[in-house]
Amino acid sequence: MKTIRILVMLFFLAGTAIGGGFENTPLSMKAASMGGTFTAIGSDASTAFYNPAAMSFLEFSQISLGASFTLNSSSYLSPYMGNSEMTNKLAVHPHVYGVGMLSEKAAVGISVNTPFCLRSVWDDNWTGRYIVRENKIAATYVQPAISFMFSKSFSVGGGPIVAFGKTIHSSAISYNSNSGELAQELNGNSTGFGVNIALYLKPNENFRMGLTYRSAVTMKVKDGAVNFSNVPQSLETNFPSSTTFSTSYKLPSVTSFGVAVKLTRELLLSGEINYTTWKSFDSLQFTFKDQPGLDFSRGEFYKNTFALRMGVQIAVSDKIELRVGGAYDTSPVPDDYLSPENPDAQKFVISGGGSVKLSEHLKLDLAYMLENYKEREVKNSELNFSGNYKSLKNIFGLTLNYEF
Amino acid sequence: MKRNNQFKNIVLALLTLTFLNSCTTTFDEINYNNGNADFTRFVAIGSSFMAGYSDNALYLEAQSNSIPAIIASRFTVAGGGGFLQPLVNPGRGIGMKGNSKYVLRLSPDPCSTDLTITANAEYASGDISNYTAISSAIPFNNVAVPGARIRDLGSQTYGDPSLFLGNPLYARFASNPSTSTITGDALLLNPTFTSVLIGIEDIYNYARRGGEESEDTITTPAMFGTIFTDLMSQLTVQNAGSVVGNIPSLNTIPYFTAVPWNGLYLDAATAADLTYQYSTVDPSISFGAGYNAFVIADVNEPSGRRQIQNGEYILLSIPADSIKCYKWGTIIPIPERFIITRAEAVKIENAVVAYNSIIANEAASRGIALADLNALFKTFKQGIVFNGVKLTTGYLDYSVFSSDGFYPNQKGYALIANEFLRAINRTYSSNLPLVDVNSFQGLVFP
Repeated sequence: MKTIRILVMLFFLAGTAIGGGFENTPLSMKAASMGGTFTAIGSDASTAFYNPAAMSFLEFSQISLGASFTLNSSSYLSPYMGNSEMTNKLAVHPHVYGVGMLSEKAAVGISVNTPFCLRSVWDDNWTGRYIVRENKIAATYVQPAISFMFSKSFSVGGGPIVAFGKTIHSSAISYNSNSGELAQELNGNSTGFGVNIALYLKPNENFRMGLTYRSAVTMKVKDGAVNFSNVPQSLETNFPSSTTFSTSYKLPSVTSFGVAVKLTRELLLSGEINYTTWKSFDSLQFTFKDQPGLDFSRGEFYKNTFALRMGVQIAVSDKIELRVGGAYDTSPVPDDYLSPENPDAQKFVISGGGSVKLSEHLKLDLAYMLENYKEREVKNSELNFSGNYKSLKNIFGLTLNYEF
Repeated sequence: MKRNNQFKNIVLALLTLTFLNSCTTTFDEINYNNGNADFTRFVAIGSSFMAGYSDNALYLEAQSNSIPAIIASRFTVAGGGGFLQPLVNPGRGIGMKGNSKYVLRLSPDPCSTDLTITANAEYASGDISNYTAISSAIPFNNVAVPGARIRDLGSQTYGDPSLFLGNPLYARFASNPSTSTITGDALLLNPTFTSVLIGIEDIYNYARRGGEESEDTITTPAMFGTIFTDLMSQLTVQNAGSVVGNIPSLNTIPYFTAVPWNGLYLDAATAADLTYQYSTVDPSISFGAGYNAFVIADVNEPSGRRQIQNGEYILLSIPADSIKCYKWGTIIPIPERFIITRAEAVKIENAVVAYNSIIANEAASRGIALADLNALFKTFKQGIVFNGVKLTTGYLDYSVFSSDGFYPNQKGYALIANEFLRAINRTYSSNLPLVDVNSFQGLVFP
């Protein structure tokens, strides 16, 4: 009981702790339903992502397949009267994990998922259209990993990160032509590399700890496509169709430390802390080939963040497990630089879900997560864009885990 | 059992935390109030700017988004009533010279294959059917008349419908053409609140003619002051509220700044050649590689010409191809009617300062609101950012001015209206919302 109290206290003390940015937490439904804690649990194939060191502790080779479905609602209240609603787009993020047991002491694994994803789509005619109509930064990480057990209670793991990024930025340009307002759409791909190192400690059956480090990954977009529309003849030289764009950004490193405690045979508690170096995301610069007049940049000045997560699992029967969890995140985005490209805010997260054993080998995990962003009043001095934002994210997902 | 209770407590704590902020993305209603002003019957008086004159004409789209129309749209959330304007017919519009509204066109230079952007009338003539008197059962809320000087506000002949006597743009909506006055028409509604912007024509009719005295002189500050005081005492009877705007400075209007005094760009060879040509006849005139001062006509010079100096201005009305194709400013001095000399510029700025001090004193002594457009235009000159977009007093690019370079475009009028609204909120403790400038039309490029 004491442990519960400590964890609960930690949770409430986390008032100033954080995560935020555009980290995509629901990457496997078992983890999602427990508030995103999995670093110390490591009980299915998704540990290839959450803690590759724990792979060698698994009993069977297994694969996990699933997807999360995110509905993002965001509202903006203009000081000039009237609100704008972000266009709700259903975002589908698949995830695939596999772990193969090489021996009693070694395992290999692979993880394919989208740990960073940002997508903001606003109405074509909204007041902030010169800043953004659509902004998307998404990175799919492919991580092969290997794990060795050094003793019955300690293992290490890790591997490379290969990241595939997609960047879309579209906005209106404040020139009118007879066919309408000018617009630009940037669309580019990028790849980046990093590493992933993990430790796993299991001193006894009821207590586990995990420590993982996923490095920062620099994503460079070179010669991305630029598409201008409604350009009249008189402005063709200012907005030439021949130009391309380049940009680069650094996805942050994430260091996680987690603890899982099995209080009884049925009850598992887990807590986790993440440290994310969002500070690396200090500005976004878009440069255009041979057209320096079109270059633009955004000061982001993100701050490094902490996140505190907690989860509980109860085995109701041999076939059914129920889970709940929560997290409290404050935002890495400072008030002065918050833009509608990423209207982030501190948020309360609750989640719930469960597992059903469909057969001897097959398990289905379901999760629901609600991210409630606190209303935020900001004044972006760079863009002279102020107003109130309020956002809500509803996430639902399922994962199938098959043990061989 | 005990364990389950703990578990339940955690879940409850989480739920409470989450739902504390409520689970919707709607915002609380904002209460707007009129403070200690009464916006029930709002009347606007003034000249071109107040009438919504843009692209060198009065046309429906710009007129519908005139400064007072925008202000009135905000009054509606704080007790304001209807706002009736003497709108022109849709289409060509009607300018002060019977012209249609201006548009930007891409036209070839006579001397090269280059295409340049020029502003000129969209049609051969404006829609003169707009001269036909429009009658309305209720008086108009916006009685601003394009071209009106302060002395015209109280003139009975200003609305004379016979050609060449009055201003047809007043005659068309005068309550009683040939006897009514603009001020008289403003008072018909017994306004509880007025907005006033007058004096721009009194100074700038002179400036826009290159300071040629014979055409139009600046109304003396003494005369302006007398009429303005009288006007404001009539408009503020029974404690009616008011907001008055002041006059922008010359160097914040692209009509005077779009062609820079030192905008003559020469390569080294051409510069040397020109300098050589002048060396025998007028050695004071010389050129170097890069940007040079244009050559202008000046009767006070023995040679009748000199190079223009910083602090002097070339008017946008200079024929577009004259510099590029006909050697104006180099071999041929630019005629004086397109030039504001230093002496003329000082005269203009002195009048602006004198008017603005009269306007400020009047506002202060009557306790009415002052919209400092002079300061506002100076901030435009530096360039401002509104909701992510740059706006400037330049000509064409990101400009808050219309194609004519003198009258604002709809974005510019929205910015001015916001300044009026800010002034009202400050003086009358109201909290009227400003308008979103990005929802107004700017220049249309060809």
